[in-house]
Amino acid sequence: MWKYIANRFLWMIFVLVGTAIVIFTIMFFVPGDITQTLLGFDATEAEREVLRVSLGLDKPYIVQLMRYLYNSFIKLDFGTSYVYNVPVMRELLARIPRTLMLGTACILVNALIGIPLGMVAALNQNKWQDTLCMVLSLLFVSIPQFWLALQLVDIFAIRLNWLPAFGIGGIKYYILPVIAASMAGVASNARQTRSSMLEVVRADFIVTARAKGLKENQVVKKHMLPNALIPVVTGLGVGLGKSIAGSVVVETIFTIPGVGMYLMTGINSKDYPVVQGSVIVLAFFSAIVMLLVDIIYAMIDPRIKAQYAGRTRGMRK
Amino acid sequence: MRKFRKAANNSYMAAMNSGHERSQSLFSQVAGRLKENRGAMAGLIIIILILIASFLGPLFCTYGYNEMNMSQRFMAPCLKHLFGTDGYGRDIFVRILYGGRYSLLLGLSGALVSLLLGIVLGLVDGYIGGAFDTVFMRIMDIWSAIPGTLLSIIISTVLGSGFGNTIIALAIGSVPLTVRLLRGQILSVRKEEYLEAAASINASATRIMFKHILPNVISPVIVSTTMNVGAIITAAAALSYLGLGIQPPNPEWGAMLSAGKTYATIYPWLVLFPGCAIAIIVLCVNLFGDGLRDAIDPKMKN
Amino acid sequence: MRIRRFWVATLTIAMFASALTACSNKESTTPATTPATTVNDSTTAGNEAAADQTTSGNGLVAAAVATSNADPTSFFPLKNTGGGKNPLNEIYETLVDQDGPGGKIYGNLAKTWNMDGLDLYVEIYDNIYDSAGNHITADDVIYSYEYSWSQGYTTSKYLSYTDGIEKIDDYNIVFHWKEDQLDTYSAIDSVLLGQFIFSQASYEASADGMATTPVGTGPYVLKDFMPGSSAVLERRADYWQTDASLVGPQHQANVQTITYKFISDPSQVVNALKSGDIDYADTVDEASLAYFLSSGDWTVVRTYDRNLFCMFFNCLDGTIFHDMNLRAALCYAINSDDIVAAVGGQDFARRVYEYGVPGVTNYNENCESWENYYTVTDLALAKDYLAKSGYAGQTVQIHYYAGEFSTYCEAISLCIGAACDQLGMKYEIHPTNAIEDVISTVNGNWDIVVSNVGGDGNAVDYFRNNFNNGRYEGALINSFDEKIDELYNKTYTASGATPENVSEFNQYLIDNYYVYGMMERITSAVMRSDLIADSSVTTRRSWTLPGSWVYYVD
Repeated sequence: MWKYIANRFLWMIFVLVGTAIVIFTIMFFVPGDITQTLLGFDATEAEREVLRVSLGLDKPYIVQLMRYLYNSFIKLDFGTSYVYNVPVMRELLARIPRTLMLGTACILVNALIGIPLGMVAALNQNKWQDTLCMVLSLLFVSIPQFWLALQLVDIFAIRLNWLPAFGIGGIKYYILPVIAASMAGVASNARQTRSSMLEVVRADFIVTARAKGLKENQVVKKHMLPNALIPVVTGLGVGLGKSIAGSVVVETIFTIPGVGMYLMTGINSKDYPVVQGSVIVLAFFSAIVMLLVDIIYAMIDPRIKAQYAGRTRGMRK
Repeated sequence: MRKFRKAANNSYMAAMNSGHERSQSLFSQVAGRLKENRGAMAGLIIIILILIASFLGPLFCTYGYNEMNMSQRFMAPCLKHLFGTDGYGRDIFVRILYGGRYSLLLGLSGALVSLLLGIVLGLVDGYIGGAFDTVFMRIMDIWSAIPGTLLSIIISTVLGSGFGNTIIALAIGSVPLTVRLLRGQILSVRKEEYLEAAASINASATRIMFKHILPNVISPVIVSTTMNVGAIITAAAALSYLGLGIQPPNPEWGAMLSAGKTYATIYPWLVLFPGCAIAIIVLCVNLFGDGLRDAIDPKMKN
Repeated sequence: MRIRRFWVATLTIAMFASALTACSNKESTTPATTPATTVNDSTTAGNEAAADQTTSGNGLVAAAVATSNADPTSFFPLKNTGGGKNPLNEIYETLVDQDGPGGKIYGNLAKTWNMDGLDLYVEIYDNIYDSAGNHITADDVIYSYEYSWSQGYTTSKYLSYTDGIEKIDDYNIVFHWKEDQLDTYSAIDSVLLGQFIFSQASYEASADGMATTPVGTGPYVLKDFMPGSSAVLERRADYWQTDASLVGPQHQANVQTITYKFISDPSQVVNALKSGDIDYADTVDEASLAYFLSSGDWTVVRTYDRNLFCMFFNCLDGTIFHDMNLRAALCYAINSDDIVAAVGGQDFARRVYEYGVPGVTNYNENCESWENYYTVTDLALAKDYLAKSGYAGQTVQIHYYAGEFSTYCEAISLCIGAACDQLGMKYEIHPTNAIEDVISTVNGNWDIVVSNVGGDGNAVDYFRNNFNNGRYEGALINSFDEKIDELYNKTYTASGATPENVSEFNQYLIDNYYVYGMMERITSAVMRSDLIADSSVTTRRSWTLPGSWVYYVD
């Protein structure tokens, strides 16, 4: 098992380096001149050339790429932002907690609200609980996220004045953003749980369990849930990846200075170090989450356990 | 030797025929079950109606979708302007109709492009397997390490705005998922006997891929692609919010929603109609997708 | 189940629709076009302010909160241009300063300055100390200029106009001017105004080039900074200029703490005002303005911000608009009044009649009554020109600058597009953050560029970049028109900046339909009536200076 994890971890590094190369290359070929953004319209070409040389932008692609990879992965230095003049790594370390908090809270809400909702709907199929669940989840899957966010702000922050409308500070600043960001995830998790529960509910081994005389509770907990949860766990994992990306929109609306907004600022002002650094960090978290998901699979699903066992045997060769 | 070959041939033919019969009636079975599902049918019909309305509707409207009239800015819905007007005096009703083209085309093309790409890549990978598979899956890992929306944003910035570029940007984010799904299915199907039989008589690689593997693995991919349409339409709206994607004056619903949100509290019709339009289309697509999944896998229905 | 699904879907739509309407403001009506409560040209103050104002000393107002129009990002002194740099103007100082756009130039760190032949002598005060206690001497001044340039931050342009700086003694320096730059328009101002002065010791002591720990000579210091969110400035008790009569209008410290809050979503600005999170906002959107205008709790101040929004044609050989008839056609089809209405009307923009804005030095008022495409909108005439031109169905590529004022540029582009529609021309609109890459002749696949041009109080300012052959290999209009070159070199000089030359230049541009100046931006700033009495003092670039506002004190 540990060999498997180590193996996956190594591949993760490879994936991260690959991501860095891809992003660097993409940003390199984006049309746009950072020196113009930094110096404004007044600067002449000669003046901008001075800045270009000082930032190292006049070197060829390969040189810049190699220097960047060396700095990022060996020295763990993502460079200095052209716009913020602060080392990217330092700024990211300050911002990651905020985005992580947003993302983790979203996942928790997804799991704690979405899964029970789906279970209730599945166990009461075709009754009013089911209909309500379906209605709510269809609703929230269809509403555009930013519109929902602005309505929440309008109701809770302006009319009722219960919560702040934007910015960061304490827990209460995160409530509205988390609600806005997680509603779609709750909805899709509820539907996913419901459909995979329904799949399991008719399965043979459930009939067997019932025939053996087990209590309904037991049946649900010990037999239905573990099997139903497998696709749900995948959904949650993918959901974290999506919510980290979707945080861009939510952070922009609520002016939360997290990694998402940092990335958008970087994209808009052609701030290469920022874009590259942020994407690598986001990809890193995405990869870690997928690794965790795989591990959880291995623990839940006996079929997969067997597969891994076979794999590790193979690797010992 | 000849006896052996004949026996292998016979078993191959038997397997082929049974597979064939199965796949033919499978399609009609699915279609039949789908027809009985009122929700899915309603979804399909509404989508078709939207399609017709968006392509033919504007021809019958009094106003052009980009006809500006500064003296009639921000008019509330009335007889002359069923959905009111926006900040340039343009009639919102005809813009909503016209905008359907973009949402439908974006969603359908995006999902289709990602499906095709995914099929080709997934089939090739699933069939060849081995070392190629490992390397390929690592490349897919890199591709999917960057979250889909992020990838769409970055690609949109690189390619610029415009209809074609937006489709590419949106599709590229969802390819890895399709490939993974396909690959999983393929790996499980490959073990089946008739495939081994087919390989033993040297049926060509393409023949095996398309005639044998594909029909059996396609169902979950089709369902997820249908769901993808809804996701792409929503992603297009998010792109518009960030200023990328479809550009004005094209009346894409997400762009209309985004442009109107500043005025939403005072002129609610600016966001009400595009918002409902997006919701309806995503809803119908999801209904249809749900129905399709139920039809393909009937065990859940009883 | 199947029937149920359908009703579920219908129920959802009904709920959605009602949710959307329920959340709207019940008192919605079309806003009346009432005039703003205060209409200003950024120099007058309200009468009632005089009684309650206080300048410095005791009884200071405790705090003011303002939005910054963009994320301040950092306090790096070398980079002092671009959006969001407002807070820097309270922390750092330059050798001289200017009282608002086109205003009087007065000494700030410099006691005297005078030009003698090719030498500009500057004497600084001998009692300047920055907030870390370091004494600012001539060495620091030279360091500020030279280090900034060496890092590529060339906003002072001093090495473009001079051969360098030399130290005379601890408080005196001299710039050696380049001979061919003697007549360059506003060159001296640029050099003296364009560089923040900081102490070498303080700069080197800072780990990140003072990006998060700025140390300047100004009346405020940075107390708290959250990049991407907010910055808190606090008044300095030991400001070096103790003689109150010598402290310029831009360097007042009338409030104890200033908080700049960055709000990234424009609709949130209104929310922030209403919930009391901020006391002042640069601009609000058109729909909310009516609310603030009619409410007694808020004062709305309209200011002409001298930003000219205009459209340039690509006139290079081989492009669509090389043909003057086509340019004329489009110009006559466009209606500036419509464009002003599209961005919100009288509270947001006013139309202009030439390539320049009214009310600045060297502006010729007569242009408002000339007869040309500015004053005449005639679709029939436009179609005549279209028929005479060689337009064969090509698609017009319209690019607009999607930076700070993207809503304005976008509105203009849409209106140009509507004019194209009326003429039956095809078009495509592209936003871009990198206008330079669009217009450089190498990349040029553009037909029209919509952008804003800033000015500092003189009509000549607007010619600054866009007709400079040395800059774009053919000026922005890419026409290689020698007459433009000649007019530019004649007008954009210290001696040539006269109303006659400006008019001549403009007339030539009009006769050839090269550009179309559409409107001047008006900012409608909203502020709390009970806190802020007068917010008219700004930097020379029209940036807000909360330290210099006049406040009500109870």
